Amino acid sequence: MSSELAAHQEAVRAAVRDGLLSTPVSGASVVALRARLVDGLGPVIGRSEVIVDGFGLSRVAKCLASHVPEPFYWTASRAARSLGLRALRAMTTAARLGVADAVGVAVDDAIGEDRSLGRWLAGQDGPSRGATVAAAVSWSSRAWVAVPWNQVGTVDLATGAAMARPFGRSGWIALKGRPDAVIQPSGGRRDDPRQVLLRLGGSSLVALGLDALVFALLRGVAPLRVVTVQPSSGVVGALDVNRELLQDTVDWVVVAAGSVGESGLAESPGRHCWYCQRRGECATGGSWMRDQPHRVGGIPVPVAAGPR
Amino acid sequence: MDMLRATGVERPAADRGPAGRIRARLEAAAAGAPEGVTLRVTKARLHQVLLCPAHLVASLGSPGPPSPEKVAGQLLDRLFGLVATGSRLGGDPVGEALGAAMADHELGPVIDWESLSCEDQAEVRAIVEACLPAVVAWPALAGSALVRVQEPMRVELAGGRVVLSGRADLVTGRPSAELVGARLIDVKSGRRRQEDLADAGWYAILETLRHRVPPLQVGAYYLRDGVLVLEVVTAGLLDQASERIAGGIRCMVGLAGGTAAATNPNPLCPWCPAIDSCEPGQRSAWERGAYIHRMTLEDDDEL
Repeated sequence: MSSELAAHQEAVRAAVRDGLLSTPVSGASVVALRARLVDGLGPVIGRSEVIVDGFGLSRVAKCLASHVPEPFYWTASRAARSLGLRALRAMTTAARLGVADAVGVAVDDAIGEDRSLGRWLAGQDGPSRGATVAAAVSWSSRAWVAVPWNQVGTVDLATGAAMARPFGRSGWIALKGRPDAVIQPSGGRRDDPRQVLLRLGGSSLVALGLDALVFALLRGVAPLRVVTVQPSSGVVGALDVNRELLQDTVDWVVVAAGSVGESGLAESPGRHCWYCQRRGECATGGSWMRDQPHRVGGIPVPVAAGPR
Repeated sequence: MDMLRATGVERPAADRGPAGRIRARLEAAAAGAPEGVTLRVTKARLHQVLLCPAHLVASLGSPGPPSPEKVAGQLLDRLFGLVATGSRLGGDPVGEALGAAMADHELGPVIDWESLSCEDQAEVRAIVEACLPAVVAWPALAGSALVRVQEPMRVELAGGRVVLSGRADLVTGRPSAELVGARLIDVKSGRRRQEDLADAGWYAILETLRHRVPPLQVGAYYLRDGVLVLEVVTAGLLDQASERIAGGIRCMVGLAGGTAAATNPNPLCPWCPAIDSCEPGQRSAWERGAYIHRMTLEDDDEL
């Protein structure tokens, strides 16, 4: 069986299917996690709406003061993922549908839905649309090459972000997960509790934990594992989901939500300072960066150059 | 189109052996990389360090303003990406390329373009116009070609302390269980150079390491004359390319660890940012009749 797949795809299938835990974190534990989340968020309740996503959580884990949520806006590469997932869905169900045709259908469908992606697409001029289609075709092809979609089990491709609202739909906080697919590895029914999340691209541990937590809050049962596939490097990662991971993630979500709009938070300088949104205003980070040897690409350079 | 379909080219078996050997060679070269630093190796840095380590250090420290050729290359890469994924171009290729970059919030080409003088912008337009026929002549490939433009590629060595990264302009095909299959093409807006084969080898190595099997072909599409040159990836090509890359990594690891950059006078010395302080480079340039002292404001005061 394994000889049917290219070497890099074998690694993906193994990560999705091999050595899985026998049972997921229990439903009772998920109920307890929800209670822990609601209790933790209680003291900071009532502020303006906050969306905690994997990127923000990763920032908070490095430095509390660096969490500055930005309003979402579409770009060609962000749209590429949404359109690419729709295209993949079409390609996995319609035999011999080419990537470009599948992306074309995805663009038309998105515009027909009249949601934010569709409105953004409808407003694009020729070059912008071309750039978006180019990014989506490339994203879809990359994903098609990286993952053996028809040999990992029963696959549900995502169509957008997964949002969990611990205080209900009208609540002020939302947790945003971003798995690209939910896989039932044994190929059984979709309501089988033994599920694996798959995410294309690199990601931090806390962001993967958030994907698992959001899934657990929405479905009442945690996934067994989160698998990451990086098409650019062929690196495949697998993170088994246990109670400790989900608890740690809940705690990070509470910290992240509490940090929004706060001033005077502890600043923890480090390599992340080079990419921080607060780079221009953070004295601690600025001082840390000035003290670093001037390097570009890891190589010491004359002082006039800015390190990266 | 026959070349792109690899008509008449036998697809070799997907041998996983080379990937392991190449990784071992490159890991050995990267082993001494210092802790706490990420050494980033690109094809341009590799060229520079192998040409002259002091030139690499000087270039990293003083990247200099963008040249019209560089900006034209960026815009043509964008235009090629649009055409290769099925878009048709209108009558303002520079505007379209900039618009496409803006759609992705990729501001580099836009900033570079705006930093140019009117004369340099005119030169960019001339290069783009001259290359445009080859861009629009690129054929539409079948859906099964799995076209990827601006394909990011990345290989980590020494536990992530050394990162090889690149962006192939076009990748098609994929390996199967039995056969190699990917094809990587670098789009070139400049003249053909000896280094182009080395660039092809660079992409062949990145592809081999990420997919565990070598690609079928690597090469370049020359926009000045519309010629596509593809090399079948052989064991010899991989061996030569990996040895070259390992040599560059060893040298860069030394620089990252604090080794003084050696100078290696070469024909490009006159264009090196360090020429004014590099005696061997100046001597080399004089000998080639190419050294002109760069005037500074202080020089102007003395006149």
